[in-house]
Amino acid sequence: MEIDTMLTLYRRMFLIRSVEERIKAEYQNRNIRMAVHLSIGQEAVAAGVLLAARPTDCCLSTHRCHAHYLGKGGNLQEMIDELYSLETGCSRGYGGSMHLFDKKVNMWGSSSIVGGSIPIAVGMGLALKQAGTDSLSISFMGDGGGDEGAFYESLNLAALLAVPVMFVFENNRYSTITPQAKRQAALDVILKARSFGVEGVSVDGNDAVQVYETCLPAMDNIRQRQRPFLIEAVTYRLCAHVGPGSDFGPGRRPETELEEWRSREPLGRLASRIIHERPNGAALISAAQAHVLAEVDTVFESAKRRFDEVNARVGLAAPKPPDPSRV
Amino acid sequence: MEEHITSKRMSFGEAIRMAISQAMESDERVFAYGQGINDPGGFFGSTVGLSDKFSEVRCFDVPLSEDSLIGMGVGAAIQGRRPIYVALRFDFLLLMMNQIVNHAAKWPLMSGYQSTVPLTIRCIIGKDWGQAAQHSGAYHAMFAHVPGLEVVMPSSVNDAPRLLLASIQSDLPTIFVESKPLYELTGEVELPIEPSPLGQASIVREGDDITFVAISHMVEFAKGVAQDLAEKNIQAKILDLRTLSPLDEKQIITSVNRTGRVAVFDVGWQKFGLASEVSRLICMTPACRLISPLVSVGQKWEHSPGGCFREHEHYPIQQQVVTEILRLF
Ligand SMILES: Cc1ncc(C[n+]2csc(CCOP(=O)(O)OP(=O)(O)O)c2C)c(N)n1
Ligand SMILES: [Mg+2]
Repeated sequence: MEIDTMLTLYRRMFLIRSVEERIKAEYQNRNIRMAVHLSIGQEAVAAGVLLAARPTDCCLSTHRCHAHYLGKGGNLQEMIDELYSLETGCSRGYGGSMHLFDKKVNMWGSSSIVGGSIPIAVGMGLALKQAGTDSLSISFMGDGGGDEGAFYESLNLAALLAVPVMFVFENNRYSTITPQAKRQAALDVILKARSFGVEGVSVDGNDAVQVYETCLPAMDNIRQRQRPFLIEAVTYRLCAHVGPGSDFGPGRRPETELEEWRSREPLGRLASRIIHERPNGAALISAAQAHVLAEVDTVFESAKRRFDEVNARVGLAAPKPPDPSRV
Repeated sequence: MEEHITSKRMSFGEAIRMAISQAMESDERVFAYGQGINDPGGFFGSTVGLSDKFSEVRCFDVPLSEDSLIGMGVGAAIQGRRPIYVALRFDFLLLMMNQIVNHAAKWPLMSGYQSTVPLTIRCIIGKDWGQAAQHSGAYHAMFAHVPGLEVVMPSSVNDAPRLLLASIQSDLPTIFVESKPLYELTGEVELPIEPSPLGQASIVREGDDITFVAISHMVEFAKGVAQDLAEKNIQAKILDLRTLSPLDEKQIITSVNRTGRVAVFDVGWQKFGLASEVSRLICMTPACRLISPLVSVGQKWEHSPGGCFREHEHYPIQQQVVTEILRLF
């Protein structure tokens, strides 16, 4: 793979990671007044899939949509403004963290009803086909989406009507803290897709290069043959299902898993590859990091300042401190 | 100035089909889909021949996947298409609730009003001939309760195609509610079909003594009641609401202010429905007073029975309604 492509992937993943880390840090100030579902640990899926996509391809997401929005190239300032409930937010202060929308880059929103956006993505693909374009629709879903009937109806509809849609089954193996095996009698989603007439492939979702290199020909294929395709990206969520905390420990997710998946964390993996392949790799990475961090800082400070200005007028009471018993 | 308006006599089903056909002809973004839509019977004749004229790309049959079919319509609508989904019965929309209420109705708001959902869902309320509890539901009030949805309920052969055209052209998701008794009607339809603005009631009959607020096939029923009352020198004004949401509150209030009496003729049940909404409106309007209690005409407070004798008693009976209203005077 070209070094430029690898660096682009890295930059996008680092942007997602830095934004999520900053949300975590700012959350204690209680002015991001909404639930946030962070994607830390899963950045390679959004970055890999969406770098392979074209700007004209249309994307839909779920409650965990920050990474997809950023991966699609959504405006960063507008996203953070939305998290700070500002009218200048990407959804004008109507959407919030779970409904990020940026028409300019064909990020068409997301549903926080698990499975809800899957058939909508099929409809978007149908519309793109009817309009005679060669764009495709991209449907991000969690493994929880595979618990829902709408997923299976959508596979059937997409195959039956020959819809250009890419189903991205982002399998972090949990719905909140309930493992996939406790929810699904059969785990092989590729087999399920195939039984509905949808071809698919499973990839290491923590390897951005593999995700990207798998998606590129798959997307070409969708465009040319006007057929749906499913990619399962196996990954792992490193922080809590919702909020900035963690959900490991007795009765929750096993801590041994955290250790195991930390070592397979996607940013570090791509960084070592870049460093390994390029003598100046480390310098390139630090330069990219510095650039992203500066941008993220500017954006957050601007949003925070304007939040304070608005609230000086509106005068909302300070929220209660977070409940420590909740993770 | 000479106007080139002609009119043609046709059945309710033909009028609906003509509206769809005209919409598809003038706008390539319009497509129709539904279970059995291309069958020879074609939803009581309302979709017959459309696929021959416009191809099966624009009028296609689909599997029994109600939830995802509406999701698919939402997605196509978000991308600028104008889908029309046809459901044989209102009851089937309950399988689509997640997509209608959680997605279609909310998507414009969730996007900060940067996205529209020009989706139309046609459905038919069953009545008579043993439709029984699961094929006779009239859930328009449930949908009208949800912000972000339009609920349209024509009562006549001339209005139906004009309201359907307006529904298709609307940028909001619209539930277009037909009822089986309407398919018995024939009438004159003005051509070409011009869209009729949503949210405007029409006056079907003038009268000063009592206001009848009616929808769908209950407009015909209200006419019968009005005729009987006229023999007793009581003149009813009949308002055909035509759309439930948006609701023509102004005309309701203006008329009730004048007559001081009101009867509501709903296709649905008597509680938590149109009569409740009309009552709310009257109670909340300063100086709008009734001089006699509101009369609520609608389905009894249970689901429609399948056997013909029980079914007969379930729905309002003209003579009983006349007697009830006469007691007000
Ligand atoms: C229909 C529905 N059921 C339940 C929920 C509550 N809920 C929110 S997120 C979530 C977990 C979904 O898991 P998954 O789809 O795998 O996505 P992940 O959170 O792992 O990214 C659940 C159960 C919901 N939002 N919608
Ligand atoms: Mg999951």
